[in-house]
Amino acid sequence: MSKEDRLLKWVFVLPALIVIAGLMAYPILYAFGTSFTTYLFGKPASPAGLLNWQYAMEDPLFLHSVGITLGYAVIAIPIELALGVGLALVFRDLESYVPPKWLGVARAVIILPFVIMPTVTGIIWRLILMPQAGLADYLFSLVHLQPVDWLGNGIGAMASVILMDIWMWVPFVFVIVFAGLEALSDEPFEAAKVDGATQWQTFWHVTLPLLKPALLVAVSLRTIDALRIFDQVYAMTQGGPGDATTFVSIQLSKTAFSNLDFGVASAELFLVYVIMLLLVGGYYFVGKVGYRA
Amino acid sequence: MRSAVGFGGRKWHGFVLALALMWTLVPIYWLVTTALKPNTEILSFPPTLWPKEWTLASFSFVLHHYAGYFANSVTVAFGSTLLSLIVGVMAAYGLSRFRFPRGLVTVIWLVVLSIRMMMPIVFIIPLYQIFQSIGLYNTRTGLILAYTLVNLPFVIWMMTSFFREIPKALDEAAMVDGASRWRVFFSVALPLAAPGIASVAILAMVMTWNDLVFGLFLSSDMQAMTLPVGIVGFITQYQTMWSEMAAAGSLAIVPVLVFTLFIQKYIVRGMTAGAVK
Repeated sequence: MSKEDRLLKWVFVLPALIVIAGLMAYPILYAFGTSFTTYLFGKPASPAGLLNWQYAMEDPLFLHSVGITLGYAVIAIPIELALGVGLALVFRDLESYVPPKWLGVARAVIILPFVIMPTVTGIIWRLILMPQAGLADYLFSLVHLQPVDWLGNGIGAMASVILMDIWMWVPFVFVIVFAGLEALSDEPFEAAKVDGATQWQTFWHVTLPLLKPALLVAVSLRTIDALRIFDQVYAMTQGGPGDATTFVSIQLSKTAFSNLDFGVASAELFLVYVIMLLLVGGYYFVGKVGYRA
Repeated sequence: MRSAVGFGGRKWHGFVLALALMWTLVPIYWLVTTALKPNTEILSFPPTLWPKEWTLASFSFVLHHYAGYFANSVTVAFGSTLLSLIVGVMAAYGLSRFRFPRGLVTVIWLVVLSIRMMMPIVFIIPLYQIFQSIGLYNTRTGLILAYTLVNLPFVIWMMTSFFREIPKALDEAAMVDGASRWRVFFSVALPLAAPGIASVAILAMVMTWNDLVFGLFLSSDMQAMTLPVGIVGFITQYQTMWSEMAAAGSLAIVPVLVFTLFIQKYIVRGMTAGAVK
C-alpha cells in the first residue's frame, strides 16, 4: 500500500460514513432523546424519565401488535417454505426433460408476485376478496358455499393477509431454494438411485440435508421481512377491521402519526430495534448467513 | 440435461407447474381486467371473467389525475438511486481494495446489515421530526435522502462483491504504468464493474419505486407524494372507484415488469443481499 493510498482510502469511504452518520446514527440518537420526553399533540412538553418506556412495555395495543405479528409469521412461513421447496424440486426434475428456454419463461412468470409493487398486491387481493362481486366469493358460489365478507371480520382478514402473503412469498422461497439446487452436483442423487432409495428416502436423507444452507437463508430472510410487513396490508385492510391486522409497523405508525405520541413511539421503536438486532445478530453468528470479511 | 432428483412423476410435475402458473397469473389478470371494466360491471354478481363492456376510461382518468404522482415517483427513484450509487460505489471500491482496521469493518457491516433488516418505520419516526424542523418534510429532496438510507447499504453490499471479482492485479498493473488511484478507479474498475452497476441501479430504482411507507409519512401533498401513496389515497378518497384503482395499479407495475426482464439473473442476488455472500 503506497503512502498516497493510506490517506486516499479514507476519501473513498468518507461520503458513505457521512451519509450513514447523518441519516442513521443521528435519527436513532434523536429518537433516544425523544423517548425520555413527554409529547402532547406532537410537541415536546416535559422530561419524562422512564415513563414512556414503562408505558411501552405495558401498552396493550403494542403488545397485541407484537403478538399478531409473531402469530402470522409462525403460521405463514412454514407453509411458504413447504410450498417453495416443493415447487423448486418439481422445477429441478422438469429440467431433466424440458428445454431450458421454456423453464426460463415459467420462472420469469412465477417470480412476478414479489417484484411487483406490494401496494398493488394489496389492491389486487382487495378486489379478489370483495364481498359478493369478488373472485373469491364467486369461486365459493360455484361449489355452493355462502359468500364470506373476508375483510369484514378479524379472523377472515388475518386469513386473507396470510393468503396474500403466500401468494407473494412462495415464489421468493422457490427462487432461493432452486438456486441452491442448481449449485448441487448430480452425483448424490444418482448414487441414491443406484442404491435403490425410494423417492421419499432420497428427499429425506439426501436432498433436504444438502439444501440446509439455502433453507437457512430463506428462513432468516422470511423472518425479517415478516416482522417488517406493512405496505400490502395497509393497502388491503389499513390494519382493520378493528386492530385485527395491525402489525407492529402499522401500530408504531399509529402511535406516532395518529396519536402524535412521539415519546412512546420512540420507546417502542427501540424495543423493536433491539428485537431485530438480536435476530440479525443471531443469524450473523450462526454463520453461513451474514458477511465475513 | 441434468438428471432428476426424483420428486414425483411427469403427470405430477405438469399439474404442479400448471397450478403454480395459474395461481400467479390469475390475480394479475383480475387486476388488469378490472381496470378495463366500468364500475357498474365490477359490482355486479356473478362477476364477469371476461369484460362484457370494454373501456379505457379508467386509464385516461389515471393518466390525467395521477401524472403528478408518477413524476414524483420517477424523480425520487432516480435521485435516490443516483446519490446511493455515487456514495456507495466509492465506498465499495474502498472496502474491496484497501485494508481498514478490523473493528471499523465489522461496525460498518453491522450498520449496513441492521439498516437493511430494520423496518422503515423505525427510521421514519425520528426522520419525520427532524425533517419537520429543518424544512425537508414534504419535499422530494427529503424523500430522496430517506430512500438513500435504505439504498446505500444495498449498493455497498452488492458492489463490494462485484469489485472483489475484479482482480486487484489489474489495478496494480495500471498503477505501475503510472496511473493515479483515481485514474484506476475511473478507467479500470468502473468500466469493468459496469454491468454490476447497471443491475444494482435497476434494483435500487425498482425498490424505491415500489415502496409505500416513506412516501406515506414523509409527504403530505402533491409536492412530494409518490405513486403508491396516491394509490392508497384512492381507497380513502374515492371509496367505490374500483376500476380507476385497478388502472392505477396496472400502470404502476408496468415499469417494474419491463425492468425485471433485463435483470432476471441478478434478482435473486439482490433480494438475498445481506444474507449470502
